[in-house]
Amino acid sequence: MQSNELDMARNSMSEIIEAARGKSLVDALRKEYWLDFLAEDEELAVASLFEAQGRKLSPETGLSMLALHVLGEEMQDASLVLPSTATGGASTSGTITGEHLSIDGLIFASGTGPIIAPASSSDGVVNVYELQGLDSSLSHLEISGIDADLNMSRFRCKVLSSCCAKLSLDWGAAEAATRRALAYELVALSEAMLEKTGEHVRERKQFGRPLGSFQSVRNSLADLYVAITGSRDMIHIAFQEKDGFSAMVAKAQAGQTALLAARHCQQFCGAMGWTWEFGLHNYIRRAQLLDSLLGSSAELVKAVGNHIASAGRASAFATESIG
Amino acid sequence: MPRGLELQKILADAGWIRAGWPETVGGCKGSILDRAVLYDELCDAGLEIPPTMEFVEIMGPMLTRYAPEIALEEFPLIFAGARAWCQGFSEPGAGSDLARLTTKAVADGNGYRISGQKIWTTYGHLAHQCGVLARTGEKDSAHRGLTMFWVDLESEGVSVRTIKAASGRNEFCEVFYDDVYVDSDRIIGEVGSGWEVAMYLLQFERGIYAWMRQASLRRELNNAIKECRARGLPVCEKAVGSAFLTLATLRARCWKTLKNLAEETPVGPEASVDKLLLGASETQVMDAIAKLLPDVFLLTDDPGAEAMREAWFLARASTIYGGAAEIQRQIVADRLLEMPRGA
Repeated sequence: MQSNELDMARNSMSEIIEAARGKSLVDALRKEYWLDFLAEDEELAVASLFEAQGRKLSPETGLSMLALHVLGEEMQDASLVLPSTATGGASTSGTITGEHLSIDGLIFASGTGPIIAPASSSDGVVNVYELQGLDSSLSHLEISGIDADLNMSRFRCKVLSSCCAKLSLDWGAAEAATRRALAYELVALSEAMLEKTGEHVRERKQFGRPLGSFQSVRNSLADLYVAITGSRDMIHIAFQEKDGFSAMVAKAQAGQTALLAARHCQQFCGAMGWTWEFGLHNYIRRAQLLDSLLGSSAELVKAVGNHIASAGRASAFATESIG
Repeated sequence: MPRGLELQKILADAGWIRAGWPETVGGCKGSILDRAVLYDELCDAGLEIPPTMEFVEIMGPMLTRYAPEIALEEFPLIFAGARAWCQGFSEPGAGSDLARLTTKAVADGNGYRISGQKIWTTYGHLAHQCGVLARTGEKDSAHRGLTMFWVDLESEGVSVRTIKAASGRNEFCEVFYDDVYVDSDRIIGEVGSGWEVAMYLLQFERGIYAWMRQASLRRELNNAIKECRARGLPVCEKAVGSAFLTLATLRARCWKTLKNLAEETPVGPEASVDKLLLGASETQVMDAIAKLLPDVFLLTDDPGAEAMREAWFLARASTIYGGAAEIQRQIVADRLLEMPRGA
């Protein structure tokens, strides 16, 4: 993936996002053949769309569309309940205990088809379930949460296991694909925060000098630059490796970076950055939410450690994947 | 170090050490990438990279490029496992601010006479030859008046004193040069081009040296996990996960740098990113190991425990040597982020 190629594709995606404001982003992406683009060059299609979403603070996301595409053609119209956390590395929005299936997760784009959700049974096995005979409006609540600019609904319900059907779909692949996409969006948010803060510390003067000339400011922003560079390298590897472990590593890394960006940038933008008008908070809100989706960086770092401990050793990613 | 040379000889006898070096100096072709793969494979097989090879990797490319005749003499000895080098840059008054160094080299007949003191010369007491950066220009010539010399440490006027490190090991030295005569054909590059030569060398300290370290650190982390399991101890998932993330990032970064070096694309300020990631990886991996095996790290008296403590302390130096982390952050802030210059 060349950087000029990415710039061009990201610009087109930004235009699509802008044009779709107030309408459906998923419809717009379908009309623009984004899924064909995905089939042609997976990393470029994902990086350009999700980085544009991050930079534009898009009110809608193509995340469910991507996950459903990976789950299979017949799932295109489903409403997917995406997990807002992960336990032990596997992200599920549901759990089966005894007779019941309990679900708590987020829906980003309601489809006309059935409601489906990844859920784990008592033995820890994760499957995708279809809820049957349920009026979705009953359990479907539009929420603002920390990020009122993002259109999402919280879906919660508890049903008898007999009211749902286990589908033979591979959640692992969909989970990895969505984690890689979120990682690119988190990197874009980090870069946007760094740029905004860079502008501020170049202009704002105290003690007769720009803030950006003070060593503590420079050092921390340099660390952020290193974290962003490293996150990009790691996501690229995850797209080559295509497995669950590398996706977990990439999302953990990108989440950590976004949280670091939020912390440093909030500090260095000072009182200005703390105002609603300045707008830094929008990126911080989005970063907090996306870090938690499908497993936060804190959860995923532990899951990476657990994976290595179970394998008995850490294996290096192949140099062919580094690019 | 004697152990380093011993390992170097084993590798040499097995014919591995020539891989990736130019045929002109007795190597068997290939590039720096072939050498990188060799170090990775050694570590994944549970073997140690001979520490002497770190200096071959850091200084070898400088010799092949700027002093091909010296390279021709030296490499056969390296390939025979009979030679070790060291680096004479830092001085008591010039550490991260290297351009301030005061060791003088004054023209005398067909050569130069070097006088001054170098410090933190790793393996100075065991190496045969030293790359010495000295001032051939005026006192205030800063980085413009420097020249790199290849000095035989057996020369008259050289004296070496080891310094006991915080790790407990005598691994670095003070080296005193008292009117040491060096022939003009021992100059690496041109008179006055010492800074350029040193900067060329530093790219390899960022690229291949950092790569060797990521391979070694992975090996050490894996050994600790194995030991932890053998003792039936729980593995601290958070510490191992964090260490792996940083280490995997370092690996990706270094491989990209090595590809640039293989294509002879100058690395530039981006190399500071490699250096910062190296420091972060060293400290995180060694902290994770100490956390996995606290009994060994804190309370055990045997050579294995001693080695672990030495390695832990050595990791602490990684954010200091070769340009402190603060200098690297300054380079990133100035040249990659284009922040206003500091006071």
